[in-house]
Amino acid sequence: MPKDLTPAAFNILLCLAGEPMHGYAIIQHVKTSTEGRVKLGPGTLYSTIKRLLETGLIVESDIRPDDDDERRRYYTLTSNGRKVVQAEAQHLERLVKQARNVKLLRGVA
Amino acid sequence: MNLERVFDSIMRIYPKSFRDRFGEELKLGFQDELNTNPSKLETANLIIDALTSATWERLQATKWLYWLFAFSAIVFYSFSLAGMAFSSEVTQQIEENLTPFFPYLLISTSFALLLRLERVPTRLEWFGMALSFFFPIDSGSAALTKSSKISE
Repeated sequence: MPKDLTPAAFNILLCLAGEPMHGYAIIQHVKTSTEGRVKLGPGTLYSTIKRLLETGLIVESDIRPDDDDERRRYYTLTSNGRKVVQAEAQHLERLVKQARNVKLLRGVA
Repeated sequence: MNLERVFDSIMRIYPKSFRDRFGEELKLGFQDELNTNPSKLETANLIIDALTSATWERLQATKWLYWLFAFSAIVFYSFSLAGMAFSSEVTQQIEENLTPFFPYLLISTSFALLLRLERVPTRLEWFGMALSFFFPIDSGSAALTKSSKISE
């Protein structure tokens, strides 16, 4: 488990849980899925990708479309990365449940 | 100066190892973002993002800087403690000699801690550190004056 899973790192891992993606696709996906609330700049993105590669949570993927720009690299989750993002999502789920219990959020507790 | 040259200059701040590995992708990312969001605000955001990320990567790659920051932090806290522990005469001497450096020592402490924790500073933290670097508030002096009054 990494020392500090930043919001940027969590969003990137969450994107890659679906399918392998290249950097710009990650930026667009995060923007769309968070309805524009989280905007990753290329600088933040690649600094975070570097750390995720170093900690073994993601790897470069061999699977890529044939017609895509060769300069684009695709990234995918490792099994450890999947475990980490799953654990973080479960942690957030528990927090949401607590918020529902104290009526901060609507929905079934 | 056109935007391409601005980003090329920022790219030079990144350490070589980072540039070799992510340079092409980064350039592509900047181009994609500028093509999609050509507004001035988005461009300013991109430049700030690139600058903070490049500075942070450079700081992380320059190991001796970490030790310099850590040493400054030790000096800062040692003198602060000494100022509180000794008589007001000693405190005043420390105050006179070290006060101008306190904001910079404080920034060094912040960097040392952030580097140790491997935590990237937020934009607000960068802004705070830049502000205290360029417009140092006499916070060290205020703290020491207060402690000397207490010891009297």
